[in-house]
Amino acid sequence: MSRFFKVCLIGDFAVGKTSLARRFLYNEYQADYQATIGVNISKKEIHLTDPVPVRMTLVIWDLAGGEPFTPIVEAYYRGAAGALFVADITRPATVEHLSHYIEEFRQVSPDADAVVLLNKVDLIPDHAVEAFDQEPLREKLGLPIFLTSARTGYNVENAFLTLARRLLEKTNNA
Amino acid sequence: MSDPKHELETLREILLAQDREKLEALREEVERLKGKIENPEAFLQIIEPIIAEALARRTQTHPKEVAQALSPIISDAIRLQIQENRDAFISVLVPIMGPLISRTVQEAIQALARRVDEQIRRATSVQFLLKQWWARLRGIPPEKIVLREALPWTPVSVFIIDNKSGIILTQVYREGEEFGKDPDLAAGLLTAIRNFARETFTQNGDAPQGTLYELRVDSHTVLMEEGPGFYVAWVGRGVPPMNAHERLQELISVIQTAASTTLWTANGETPPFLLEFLEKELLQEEEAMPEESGGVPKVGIALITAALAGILLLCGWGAYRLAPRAVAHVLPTAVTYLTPTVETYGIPLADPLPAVLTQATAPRIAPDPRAQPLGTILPNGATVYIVAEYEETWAQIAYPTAEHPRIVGWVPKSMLKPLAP
Repeated sequence: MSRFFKVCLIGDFAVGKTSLARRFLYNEYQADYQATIGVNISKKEIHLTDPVPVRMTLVIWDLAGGEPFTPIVEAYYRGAAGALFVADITRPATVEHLSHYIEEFRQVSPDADAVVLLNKVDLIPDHAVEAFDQEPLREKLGLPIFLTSARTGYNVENAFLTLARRLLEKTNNA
Repeated sequence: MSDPKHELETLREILLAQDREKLEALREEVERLKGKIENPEAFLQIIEPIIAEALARRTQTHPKEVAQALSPIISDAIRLQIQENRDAFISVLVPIMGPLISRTVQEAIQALARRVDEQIRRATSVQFLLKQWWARLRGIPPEKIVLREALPWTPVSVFIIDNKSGIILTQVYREGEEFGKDPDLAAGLLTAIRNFARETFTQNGDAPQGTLYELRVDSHTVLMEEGPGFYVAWVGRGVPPMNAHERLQELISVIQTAASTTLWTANGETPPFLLEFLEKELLQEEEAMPEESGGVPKVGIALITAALAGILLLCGWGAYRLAPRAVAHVLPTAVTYLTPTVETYGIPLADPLPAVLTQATAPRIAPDPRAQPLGTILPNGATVYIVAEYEETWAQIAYPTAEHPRIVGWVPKSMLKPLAP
Protein backbone atom coordinates (compact mmCIF):
# COMPACT_ATOMS: atom_id res chain seq x y z
CA MET A 1 0.00 0.00 0.00
CA SER A 2 1.33 3.45 -0.91
CA ARG A 3 2.10 5.89 1.90
CA PHE A 4 1.10 9.46 1.35
CA PHE A 5 3.15 12.53 2.25
CA LYS A 6 2.15 16.15 1.75
CA VAL A 7 5.02 18.33 0.57
CA CYS A 8 4.94 22.06 -0.20
CA LEU A 9 6.86 23.96 -2.86
CA ILE A 10 7.72 27.33 -1.34
CA GLY A 11 9.60 30.35 -2.60
CA ASP A 12 9.35 33.77 -4.23
CA PHE A 13 7.35 34.32 -7.37
CA ALA A 14 8.83 33.20 -10.71
CA VAL A 15 11.64 31.14 -9.20
CA GLY A 16 10.41 28.05 -11.02
CA LYS A 17 8.30 26.18 -8.49
CA THR A 18 5.60 25.19 -10.94
CA SER A 19 8.17 24.36 -13.61
CA LEU A 20 10.02 22.11 -11.17
CA ALA A 21 6.78 20.36 -10.29
CA ARG A 22 5.93 19.84 -13.96
CA ARG A 23 9.40 18.55 -14.68
CA PHE A 24 9.18 16.08 -11.81
CA LEU A 25 5.60 15.00 -12.50
CA TYR A 26 5.45 14.96 -16.29
CA ASN A 27 9.07 15.48 -17.37
CA GLU A 28 8.07 18.52 -19.40
CA TYR A 29 8.82 22.22 -19.41
CA GLN A 30 6.85 25.23 -20.64
CA ALA A 31 8.77 28.40 -21.37
CA ASP A 32 5.83 30.80 -20.98
CA TYR A 33 5.22 31.99 -17.46
CA GLN A 34 1.81 31.71 -15.80
CA ALA A 35 1.48 32.81 -12.21
CA THR A 36 -0.03 30.22 -9.85
CA ILE A 37 -3.26 31.44 -8.29
CA GLY A 38 -3.72 30.06 -4.79
CA VAL A 39 -2.42 26.54 -4.92
CA ASN A 40 -1.94 23.73 -7.43
CA ILE A 41 -2.13 20.24 -6.03
CA SER A 42 -0.70 17.22 -7.81
CA LYS A 43 0.71 13.87 -6.84
CA LYS A 44 3.29 11.36 -7.94
CA GLU A 45 3.85 7.81 -6.82
CA ILE A 46 7.47 6.89 -6.25
CA HIS A 47 8.96 3.45 -6.04
CA LEU A 48 12.08 3.32 -3.90
CA THR A 49 14.16 0.19 -3.81
CA ASP A 50 16.88 1.07 -1.34
CA PRO A 51 17.14 -0.26 1.32
CA VAL A 52 13.84 -2.12 0.76
CA PRO A 53 11.23 -1.78 -1.95
CA VAL A 54 8.60 0.69 -0.88
CA ARG A 55 5.90 2.72 -2.59
CA MET A 56 5.18 6.23 -1.50
CA THR A 57 3.09 9.03 -2.93
CA LEU A 58 4.08 12.67 -2.75
CA VAL A 59 1.10 15.00 -2.76
CA ILE A 60 2.69 18.23 -3.95
CA TRP A 61 1.17 21.56 -2.95
CA ASP A 62 2.59 24.16 -5.31
CA LEU A 63 1.86 27.48 -3.62
CA ALA A 64 1.67 30.89 -5.25
CA GLY A 65 4.98 32.62 -4.74
CA GLY A 66 5.72 35.73 -2.77
CA GLU A 67 2.59 35.59 -0.63
CA PRO A 68 2.79 37.17 2.83
CA PHE A 69 2.45 34.78 5.75
CA THR A 70 -1.34 34.97 6.18
CA PRO A 71 -3.60 32.46 7.93
CA ILE A 72 -4.49 30.95 4.55
CA VAL A 73 -0.81 30.32 3.77
CA GLU A 74 -0.41 28.93 7.26
CA ALA A 75 -3.31 26.58 6.52
CA TYR A 76 -1.58 25.39 3.36
CA TYR A 77 1.58 24.60 5.33
CA ARG A 78 -0.31 22.68 7.97
CA GLY A 79 0.07 18.91 7.92
CA ALA A 80 3.02 18.99 5.54
CA ALA A 81 5.56 16.22 5.99
CA GLY A 82 8.14 18.03 3.91
CA ALA A 83 8.97 21.09 1.84
CA LEU A 84 11.11 22.14 -1.10
CA PHE A 85 12.31 25.72 -0.74
CA VAL A 86 13.09 27.16 -4.14
CA ALA A 87 15.13 30.20 -5.15
CA ASP A 88 16.30 31.59 -8.46
CA ILE A 89 20.08 31.43 -8.50
CA THR A 90 20.19 34.40 -10.87
CA ARG A 91 18.22 36.59 -8.40
CA PRO A 92 20.15 36.81 -5.12
CA ALA A 93 17.19 38.40 -3.31
CA THR A 94 15.20 35.17 -3.72
CA VAL A 95 18.04 33.25 -2.05
CA GLU A 96 18.08 35.70 0.84
CA HIS A 97 14.35 35.28 1.35
CA LEU A 98 14.71 31.52 1.83
CA SER A 99 15.51 31.82 5.52
CA HIS A 100 12.24 33.72 6.12
CA TYR A 101 10.22 31.06 4.35
CA ILE A 102 11.98 28.32 6.31
CA GLU A 103 11.28 30.09 9.58
CA GLU A 104 7.59 30.61 8.75
CA PHE A 105 7.21 27.02 7.64
CA ARG A 106 8.89 25.72 10.80
CA GLN A 107 6.39 27.64 12.93
CA VAL A 108 3.57 25.60 11.44
CA SER A 109 5.27 22.25 10.76
CA PRO A 110 8.28 22.04 13.05
CA ASP A 111 8.80 18.31 12.46
CA ALA A 112 8.77 18.44 8.70
CA ASP A 113 11.87 17.75 6.63
CA ALA A 114 13.04 19.92 3.76
CA VAL A 115 15.55 20.55 0.99
CA VAL A 116 16.62 23.71 -0.84
CA LEU A 117 16.65 24.05 -4.62
CA LEU A 118 18.63 26.80 -6.34
CA ASN A 119 16.92 26.76 -9.69
CA LYS A 120 17.69 28.12 -13.19
CA VAL A 121 21.26 26.94 -13.05
CA ASP A 122 21.14 26.61 -16.86
CA LEU A 123 21.31 30.40 -17.08
CA ILE A 124 24.76 30.67 -15.53
CA PRO A 125 28.03 29.48 -17.10
CA ASP A 126 29.32 26.03 -16.26
CA HIS A 127 32.45 27.34 -14.62
CA ALA A 128 30.33 29.51 -12.32
CA VAL A 129 28.28 26.47 -11.36
CA GLU A 130 31.42 24.51 -10.51
CA ALA A 131 32.88 27.40 -8.58
CA PHE A 132 29.70 28.02 -6.58
CA ASP A 133 30.36 27.33 -2.91
CA GLN A 134 27.27 25.81 -1.34
CA GLU A 135 28.77 25.34 2.09
CA PRO A 136 28.04 28.78 3.61
CA LEU A 137 24.42 28.61 2.50
CA ARG A 138 24.06 25.04 3.69
CA GLU A 139 25.40 26.02 7.08
CA LYS A 140 23.13 29.02 7.30
CA LEU A 141 19.95 27.20 6.31
CA GLY A 142 20.79 23.79 7.77
CA LEU A 143 19.35 21.93 4.82
CA PRO A 144 20.72 20.02 1.80
CA ILE A 145 21.11 22.20 -1.27
CA PHE A 146 20.56 21.22 -4.88
CA LEU A 147 21.44 23.20 -7.97
CA THR A 148 18.66 22.48 -10.42
CA SER A 149 17.25 23.46 -13.77
CA ALA A 150 13.60 22.86 -14.54
CA ARG A 151 14.34 23.75 -18.16
CA THR A 152 16.93 21.04 -18.70
CA GLY A 153 15.77 18.71 -15.91
CA TYR A 154 19.17 18.84 -14.24
CA ASN A 155 19.10 17.46 -10.71
CA VAL A 156 15.32 17.87 -10.35
CA GLU A 157 14.44 14.22 -9.80
CA ASN A 158 17.42 13.84 -7.51
CA ALA A 159 16.18 16.65 -5.28
CA PHE A 160 12.64 15.26 -5.00
CA LEU A 161 13.83 11.70 -4.42
CA THR A 162 16.27 12.85 -1.74
CA LEU A 163 13.42 14.53 0.10
CA ALA A 164 11.28 11.42 -0.34
CA ARG A 165 13.98 9.22 1.16
CA ARG A 166 14.45 11.57 4.08
CA LEU A 167 10.69 11.54 4.75
CA LEU A 168 10.59 7.77 4.66
CA GLU A 169 13.57 7.47 6.95
CA LYS A 170 12.04 9.89 9.40
CA THR A 171 8.75 7.98 9.41
CA ASN A 172 10.47 4.63 9.90
CA ASN A 173 12.54 6.01 12.77
CA ALA A 174 9.44 7.49 14.37
CA MET B 1 37.32 71.19 -84.30
CA SER B 2 35.05 69.42 -81.86
CA ASP B 3 31.31 69.37 -82.23
CA PRO B 4 29.57 71.43 -79.47
CA LYS B 5 26.61 69.11 -79.52
CA HIS B 6 28.78 66.08 -79.07
CA GLU B 7 30.64 67.77 -76.30
CA LEU B 8 27.36 68.70 -74.61
CA GLU B 9 26.14 65.16 -74.90
CA THR B 10 29.37 63.87 -73.43
CA LEU B 11 29.09 66.36 -70.60
CA ARG B 12 25.49 65.33 -70.04
CA GLU B 13 26.54 61.71 -69.88
CA ILE B 14 29.25 62.44 -67.39
CA LEU B 15 26.98 64.50 -65.15
CA LEU B 16 23.89 62.38 -65.39
CA ALA B 17 25.34 58.87 -65.77
CA GLN B 18 24.76 57.87 -62.16
CA ASP B 19 21.25 59.32 -62.10
CA ARG B 20 20.42 57.56 -65.33
CA GLU B 21 21.62 54.29 -63.91
CA LYS B 22 19.55 54.76 -60.82
CA LEU B 23 16.53 55.70 -62.88
CA GLU B 24 16.93 52.62 -65.02
CA ALA B 25 17.24 50.42 -61.97
CA LEU B 26 14.09 51.98 -60.49
CA ARG B 27 12.26 51.46 -63.73
CA GLU B 28 13.22 47.83 -63.76
CA GLU B 29 12.16 47.44 -60.15
CA VAL B 30 8.78 49.05 -60.83
CA GLU B 31 8.26 46.76 -63.77
CA ARG B 32 9.16 43.79 -61.66
CA LEU B 33 6.76 44.79 -58.87
CA LYS B 34 4.07 45.63 -61.34
CA GLY B 35 4.47 42.22 -62.82
CA LYS B 36 4.07 40.62 -59.39
CA ILE B 37 1.01 42.63 -58.45
CA GLU B 38 -0.67 42.02 -61.73
CA ASN B 39 0.19 38.34 -61.60
CA PRO B 40 -2.25 36.80 -59.10
CA GLU B 41 -0.03 33.84 -58.29
CA ALA B 42 2.96 36.04 -57.55
CA PHE B 43 0.81 38.48 -55.52
CA LEU B 44 -0.52 35.62 -53.39
CA GLN B 45 2.98 34.52 -52.58
CA ILE B 46 3.72 38.01 -51.24
CA ILE B 47 0.70 38.46 -49.00
CA GLU B 48 0.13 34.87 -47.92
CA PRO B 49 2.80 34.83 -45.20
CA ILE B 50 1.55 38.02 -43.59
CA ILE B 51 -2.22 37.86 -44.02
CA ALA B 52 -2.83 36.01 -40.73
CA GLU B 53 -0.71 38.40 -38.75
CA ALA B 54 -2.28 41.40 -40.47
CA LEU B 55 -5.75 40.10 -39.60
CA ALA B 56 -4.73 39.46 -36.00
CA ARG B 57 -3.32 42.97 -35.65
CA ARG B 58 -6.36 44.53 -37.22
CA THR B 59 -8.64 42.54 -34.95
CA GLN B 60 -6.78 43.89 -31.94
CA THR B 61 -6.98 47.50 -33.04
CA HIS B 62 -10.38 47.47 -34.80
CA PRO B 63 -12.28 44.40 -33.64
CA LYS B 64 -15.74 45.65 -34.52
CA GLU B 65 -14.74 46.51 -38.06
CA VAL B 66 -13.23 43.08 -38.61
CA ALA B 67 -16.31 41.40 -37.11
CA GLN B 68 -18.59 43.44 -39.38
CA ALA B 69 -16.49 42.60 -42.38
CA LEU B 70 -16.46 38.86 -41.64
CA SER B 71 -19.98 38.38 -40.29
CA PRO B 72 -21.75 38.01 -43.65
CA ILE B 73 -19.72 34.94 -44.45
CA ILE B 74 -19.18 33.37 -41.02
CA SER B 75 -22.53 31.61 -40.83
CA ASP B 76 -22.16 30.30 -44.38
CA ALA B 77 -18.66 29.11 -43.59
CA ILE B 78 -19.86 27.26 -40.46
CA ARG B 79 -22.71 25.67 -42.37
CA LEU B 80 -20.36 24.54 -45.07
CA GLN B 81 -17.93 23.12 -42.54
CA ILE B 82 -20.63 21.18 -40.75
CA GLN B 83 -21.78 19.72 -44.02
CA GLU B 84 -18.32 18.72 -45.09
CA ASN B 85 -16.96 17.63 -41.71
CA ARG B 86 -19.90 16.51 -39.64
CA ASP B 87 -18.05 13.86 -37.62
CA ALA B 88 -15.50 16.34 -36.33
CA PHE B 89 -18.26 18.65 -35.10
CA ILE B 90 -20.09 15.81 -33.41
CA SER B 91 -16.95 14.67 -31.59
CA VAL B 92 -16.44 18.21 -30.32
CA LEU B 93 -20.05 18.76 -29.24
CA VAL B 94 -20.85 15.39 -27.67
CA PRO B 95 -18.73 15.82 -24.49
CA ILE B 96 -20.40 19.19 -23.94
CA MET B 97 -23.94 18.16 -24.74
CA GLY B 98 -24.07 15.21 -22.34
CA PRO B 99 -23.60 17.19 -19.14
CA LEU B 100 -25.63 20.06 -20.59
CA ILE B 101 -28.62 17.84 -21.28
CA SER B 102 -28.27 16.12 -17.92
CA ARG B 103 -28.30 19.42 -16.10
CA THR B 104 -31.17 20.78 -18.14
CA VAL B 105 -33.26 17.69 -17.51
CA GLN B 106 -32.52 17.81 -13.79
CA GLU B 107 -33.56 21.43 -13.59
CA ALA B 108 -36.69 20.65 -15.58
CA ILE B 109 -37.57 17.84 -13.20
CA GLN B 110 -37.06 20.10 -10.21
CA ALA B 111 -39.29 22.72 -11.80
CA LEU B 112 -41.90 20.06 -12.53
CA ALA B 113 -41.65 18.81 -8.96
CA ARG B 114 -42.29 22.32 -7.71
CA ARG B 115 -45.35 22.66 -9.92
CA VAL B 116 -46.67 19.27 -8.87
CA ASP B 117 -46.08 20.18 -5.26
CA GLU B 118 -48.03 23.38 -5.70
CA GLN B 119 -50.98 21.44 -7.08
CA ILE B 120 -50.81 18.87 -4.34
CA ARG B 121 -50.80 21.58 -1.72
CA ARG B 122 -54.21 22.65 -2.91
CA ALA B 123 -55.52 19.10 -2.81
CA THR B 124 -57.22 17.57 0.20
CA SER B 125 -54.67 14.82 0.77
CA VAL B 126 -54.50 13.83 4.41
CA GLN B 127 -51.22 12.01 3.87
CA PHE B 128 -49.67 15.06 2.29
CA LEU B 129 -51.00 17.27 5.07
CA LEU B 130 -49.40 14.99 7.59
CA LYS B 131 -46.09 15.00 5.67
CA GLN B 132 -46.27 18.74 5.41
CA TRP B 133 -46.96 19.14 9.12
CA TRP B 134 -44.08 16.81 10.04
CA ALA B 135 -41.72 18.67 7.67
CA ARG B 136 -42.69 22.06 9.14
CA LEU B 137 -42.11 20.75 12.64
CA ARG B 138 -38.56 19.87 11.62
CA GLY B 139 -38.02 23.17 9.87
CA ILE B 140 -37.88 21.64 6.38
CA PRO B 141 -39.72 23.31 3.49
CA PRO B 142 -42.52 20.93 2.38
CA GLU B 143 -41.54 21.23 -1.29
CA LYS B 144 -38.34 19.40 -0.38
CA ILE B 145 -40.44 16.34 0.44
CA VAL B 146 -41.71 16.21 -3.14
CA LEU B 147 -38.23 16.89 -4.47
CA ARG B 148 -36.89 14.03 -2.45
CA GLU B 149 -39.48 11.78 -4.03
CA ALA B 150 -38.50 12.95 -7.50
CA LEU B 151 -34.71 12.86 -6.93
CA PRO B 152 -33.80 10.29 -4.29
CA TRP B 153 -30.36 10.49 -2.73
CA THR B 154 -27.88 8.14 -4.41
CA PRO B 155 -24.63 7.89 -2.44
CA VAL B 156 -21.48 7.73 -4.52
CA SER B 157 -18.66 7.67 -1.99
CA VAL B 158 -17.54 8.58 1.50
CA PHE B 159 -14.16 10.06 2.35
CA ILE B 160 -12.51 10.58 5.69
CA ILE B 161 -9.81 13.19 5.15
CA ASP B 162 -7.08 14.52 7.40
CA ASN B 163 -7.94 18.11 8.32
CA LYS B 164 -4.48 19.53 7.90
CA SER B 165 -2.73 17.67 5.12
CA GLY B 166 -5.81 16.87 3.02
CA ILE B 167 -4.66 13.28 2.68
CA ILE B 168 -7.37 10.64 2.48
CA LEU B 169 -7.48 8.40 5.54
CA THR B 170 -10.33 6.24 4.31
CA GLN B 171 -12.45 6.13 1.19
CA VAL B 172 -15.29 3.85 0.19
CA TYR B 173 -17.17 3.83 -3.07
CA ARG B 174 -20.52 2.43 -4.01
CA GLU B 175 -20.08 -0.29 -6.57
CA GLY B 176 -20.03 1.09 -10.09
CA GLU B 177 -19.70 4.71 -8.98
CA GLU B 178 -16.79 7.12 -9.15
CA PHE B 179 -16.33 10.82 -8.44
CA GLY B 180 -13.70 13.00 -10.03
CA LYS B 181 -10.56 12.07 -11.89
CA ASP B 182 -8.32 11.50 -8.89
CA PRO B 183 -9.71 11.28 -5.36
CA ASP B 184 -6.36 12.20 -3.77
CA LEU B 185 -6.17 15.48 -5.67
CA ALA B 186 -9.87 16.13 -5.07
CA ALA B 187 -9.34 15.65 -1.32
CA GLY B 188 -6.37 18.02 -1.31
CA LEU B 189 -8.26 20.70 -3.20
CA LEU B 190 -11.35 20.25 -1.04
CA THR B 191 -9.17 20.77 2.03
CA ALA B 192 -7.66 23.90 0.48
CA ILE B 193 -11.17 25.21 -0.29
CA ARG B 194 -12.30 24.54 3.30
CA ASN B 195 -9.24 26.37 4.61
CA PHE B 196 -9.96 29.26 2.30
CA ALA B 197 -13.60 29.47 3.45
CA ARG B 198 -12.58 29.33 7.10
CA GLU B 199 -10.00 32.08 6.80
CA THR B 200 -12.24 34.27 4.67
CA PHE B 201 -15.26 34.21 6.98
CA THR B 202 -13.49 34.43 10.35
CA GLN B 203 -13.53 37.89 11.90
CA ASN B 204 -10.32 39.12 13.50
CA GLY B 205 -9.99 37.80 17.01
CA ASP B 206 -12.97 35.45 16.78
CA ALA B 207 -12.82 31.70 17.04
CA PRO B 208 -12.55 30.14 13.56
CA GLN B 209 -15.85 30.23 11.68
CA GLY B 210 -16.84 29.71 8.08
CA THR B 211 -16.99 25.91 8.22
CA LEU B 212 -17.98 24.55 4.83
CA TYR B 213 -20.82 22.06 5.21
CA GLU B 214 -21.99 21.54 1.66
CA LEU B 215 -20.71 21.87 -1.89
CA ARG B 216 -22.60 21.27 -5.12
CA VAL B 217 -20.71 20.23 -8.25
CA ASP B 218 -22.96 19.68 -11.28
CA SER B 219 -25.35 16.89 -10.26
CA HIS B 220 -23.26 15.86 -7.24
CA THR B 221 -23.51 17.19 -3.71
CA VAL B 222 -20.66 16.91 -1.21
CA LEU B 223 -21.82 17.02 2.42
CA MET B 224 -19.15 17.62 5.04
CA GLU B 225 -18.87 17.43 8.81
CA GLU B 226 -15.81 18.06 10.89
CA GLY B 227 -14.35 15.79 13.55
CA PRO B 228 -11.21 16.09 15.67
CA GLY B 229 -8.30 16.12 13.26
CA PHE B 230 -10.34 14.95 10.28
CA TYR B 231 -13.49 15.67 8.35
CA VAL B 232 -15.99 13.46 6.56
CA ALA B 233 -17.13 14.12 3.00
CA TRP B 234 -20.21 12.28 1.77
CA VAL B 235 -20.68 12.50 -2.01
CA GLY B 236 -23.95 11.68 -3.73
CA ARG B 237 -26.50 12.61 -6.38
CA GLY B 238 -30.05 13.84 -5.78
CA VAL B 239 -31.56 15.58 -2.80
CA PRO B 240 -29.72 14.79 0.44
CA PRO B 241 -31.75 13.08 3.18
CA MET B 242 -33.18 15.28 5.93
CA ASN B 243 -30.92 13.80 8.57
CA ALA B 244 -27.76 13.70 6.44
CA HIS B 245 -25.61 15.87 8.69
CA GLU B 246 -26.84 14.07 11.80
CA ARG B 247 -25.76 10.78 10.27
CA LEU B 248 -22.34 12.20 9.55
CA GLN B 249 -22.09 13.45 13.13
CA GLU B 250 -23.00 9.97 14.27
CA LEU B 251 -20.16 8.56 12.19
CA ILE B 252 -17.79 11.03 13.83
CA SER B 253 -19.02 9.99 17.26
CA VAL B 254 -18.46 6.34 16.39
CA ILE B 255 -14.90 7.10 15.31
CA GLN B 256 -14.23 9.21 18.40
CA THR B 257 -15.50 6.76 20.94
CA ALA B 258 -14.27 3.60 19.24
CA ALA B 259 -10.60 4.50 19.46
CA SER B 260 -8.98 6.87 21.89
CA THR B 261 -5.57 6.73 20.17
CA THR B 262 -4.77 6.03 16.58
CA LEU B 263 -7.67 4.76 14.60
CA TRP B 264 -5.83 3.99 11.43
CA THR B 265 -2.89 1.60 11.41
CA ALA B 266 0.62 2.69 10.44
CA ASN B 267 0.02 1.22 6.98
CA GLY B 268 -3.04 3.36 6.53
CA GLU B 269 -5.52 0.49 6.71
CA THR B 270 -9.00 1.22 7.93
CA PRO B 271 -10.47 -0.85 10.78
CA PRO B 272 -13.04 -3.34 9.49
CA PHE B 273 -15.77 -2.07 11.83
CA LEU B 274 -15.49 1.39 10.33
CA LEU B 275 -15.65 0.09 6.77
CA GLU B 276 -18.72 -1.90 7.71
CA PHE B 277 -20.35 1.13 9.29
CA LEU B 278 -19.65 3.28 6.24
CA GLU B 279 -21.02 0.73 3.80
CA LYS B 280 -24.08 -0.03 5.86
CA GLU B 281 -25.03 3.44 7.01
CA LEU B 282 -23.89 5.76 4.25
CA LEU B 283 -23.54 3.85 1.01
CA GLN B 284 -26.96 2.26 0.78
CA GLU B 285 -29.25 3.93 -1.71
CA GLU B 286 -32.09 5.86 -0.08
CA GLU B 287 -35.54 4.55 -0.90
CA ALA B 288 -37.82 7.03 -2.51
CA MET B 289 -40.89 7.69 -0.45
CA PRO B 290 -43.32 4.82 -1.13
CA GLU B 291 -46.38 5.59 -3.18
CA GLU B 292 -49.70 5.57 -1.50
CA SER B 293 -50.97 2.06 -1.16
CA GLY B 294 -54.52 1.04 -1.79
CA GLY B 295 -56.98 0.37 0.95
CA VAL B 296 -59.24 2.95 2.52
CA PRO B 297 -59.84 5.80 0.06
CA LYS B 298 -58.54 9.26 0.90
CA VAL B 299 -61.98 10.74 1.23
CA GLY B 300 -62.86 8.10 3.77
CA ILE B 301 -59.75 8.82 5.84
CA ALA B 302 -60.55 12.51 5.71
CA LEU B 303 -64.10 11.95 6.91
CA ILE B 304 -63.05 9.65 9.74
CA THR B 305 -60.35 12.09 10.83
CA ALA B 306 -62.84 14.96 10.76
CA ALA B 307 -65.34 12.96 12.79
CA LEU B 308 -62.75 12.02 15.42
CA ALA B 309 -61.55 15.60 15.64
CA GLY B 310 -65.15 16.75 16.12
CA ILE B 311 -65.75 14.30 18.94
CA LEU B 312 -62.52 15.33 20.69
CA LEU B 313 -63.47 18.97 20.41
CA LEU B 314 -66.89 18.27 21.84
CA CYS B 315 -65.41 16.39 24.78
CA GLY B 316 -62.92 19.13 25.40
CA TRP B 317 -65.59 21.81 25.33
CA GLY B 318 -67.71 19.82 27.70
CA ALA B 319 -64.87 19.33 30.11
CA TYR B 320 -64.15 23.01 30.01
CA ARG B 321 -67.77 23.91 30.75
CA LEU B 322 -68.08 21.47 33.62
CA ALA B 323 -64.70 21.91 35.33
CA PRO B 324 -64.38 24.48 38.12
CA ARG B 325 -62.36 27.47 37.03
CA ALA B 326 -59.78 29.14 39.20
CA VAL B 327 -59.98 32.86 39.73
CA ALA B 328 -56.29 33.37 39.25
CA HIS B 329 -53.41 31.40 37.76
CA VAL B 330 -49.86 31.25 38.97
CA LEU B 331 -47.40 31.23 36.06
CA PRO B 332 -44.61 28.64 36.35
CA THR B 333 -41.17 30.06 36.98
CA ALA B 334 -39.21 26.85 37.47
CA VAL B 335 -36.16 26.16 35.32
CA THR B 336 -36.38 23.06 33.16
CA TYR B 337 -33.55 20.59 33.03
CA LEU B 338 -33.57 18.20 30.14
CA THR B 339 -31.00 15.65 31.23
CA PRO B 340 -30.73 12.96 33.83
CA THR B 341 -29.12 13.97 37.11
CA VAL B 342 -25.37 14.00 37.50
CA GLU B 343 -25.49 11.09 39.93
CA THR B 344 -26.77 8.78 37.19
CA TYR B 345 -23.47 8.90 35.24
CA GLY B 346 -19.94 9.94 36.05
CA ILE B 347 -18.30 11.98 38.73
CA PRO B 348 -19.47 15.53 39.39
CA LEU B 349 -16.84 18.24 39.68
CA ALA B 350 -16.63 20.43 42.75
CA ASP B 351 -16.36 23.58 40.63
CA PRO B 352 -17.52 23.83 37.01
CA LEU B 353 -14.58 24.16 34.64
CA PRO B 354 -14.87 26.69 31.80
CA ALA B 355 -14.11 25.29 28.34
CA VAL B 356 -14.74 26.10 24.72
CA LEU B 357 -16.22 23.81 22.08
CA THR B 358 -13.87 23.07 19.19
CA GLN B 359 -16.70 22.14 16.85
CA ALA B 360 -20.45 22.56 16.52
CA THR B 361 -22.28 19.71 18.20
CA ALA B 362 -25.56 18.65 19.77
CA PRO B 363 -25.03 17.43 23.36
CA ARG B 364 -26.57 14.08 24.13
CA ILE B 365 -28.75 12.96 27.00
CA ALA B 366 -26.20 10.34 28.06
CA PRO B 367 -22.48 9.70 27.60
CA ASP B 368 -23.01 7.33 24.72
CA PRO B 369 -22.69 8.01 20.98
CA ARG B 370 -25.98 6.21 20.45
CA ALA B 371 -27.80 8.38 22.98
CA GLN B 372 -30.39 10.78 21.70
CA PRO B 373 -29.05 14.22 20.92
CA LEU B 374 -30.70 17.25 22.46
CA GLY B 375 -32.60 19.57 20.19
CA THR B 376 -30.05 22.36 20.63
CA ILE B 377 -26.92 22.48 18.48
CA LEU B 378 -24.17 24.40 20.22
CA PRO B 379 -21.95 26.44 17.90
CA ASN B 380 -18.24 25.99 17.40
CA GLY B 381 -16.39 28.22 19.84
CA ALA B 382 -19.21 28.33 22.40
CA THR B 383 -18.10 28.77 26.00
CA VAL B 384 -19.47 26.03 28.25
CA TYR B 385 -18.88 24.72 31.78
CA ILE B 386 -17.85 21.14 32.52
CA VAL B 387 -19.92 19.93 35.46
CA ALA B 388 -19.10 16.20 35.43
CA GLU B 389 -16.91 13.62 33.74
CA TYR B 390 -17.51 10.02 32.72
CA GLU B 391 -14.80 7.43 32.07
CA GLU B 392 -12.30 10.12 31.00
CA THR B 393 -13.85 10.37 27.54
CA TRP B 394 -17.13 12.18 28.17
CA ALA B 395 -17.93 15.45 29.84
CA GLN B 396 -21.27 16.83 30.99
CA ILE B 397 -21.54 20.49 30.12
CA ALA B 398 -23.77 23.38 31.10
CA TYR B 399 -24.59 26.06 28.58
CA PRO B 400 -26.97 28.99 28.91
CA THR B 401 -29.40 29.73 26.08
CA ALA B 402 -32.09 32.31 25.58
CA GLU B 403 -34.85 29.69 25.91
CA HIS B 404 -33.45 27.84 28.92
CA PRO B 405 -31.10 29.32 31.46
CA ARG B 406 -29.09 26.08 31.63
CA ILE B 407 -28.92 23.21 29.17
CA VAL B 408 -26.96 20.21 30.41
CA GLY B 409 -25.82 17.46 28.08
CA TRP B 410 -22.95 15.13 27.32
CA VAL B 411 -20.22 15.66 24.73
CA PRO B 412 -16.95 13.78 24.04
CA LYS B 413 -14.10 15.42 25.90
CA SER B 414 -12.11 15.60 22.68
CA MET B 415 -14.52 18.33 21.52
CA LEU B 416 -13.61 20.56 24.46
CA LYS B 417 -10.68 22.82 25.02
CA PRO B 418 -10.30 23.93 28.63
CA LEU B 419 -9.98 27.65 29.26
CA ALA B 420 -7.57 29.14 31.75
CA PRO B 421 -9.48 29.85 34.99
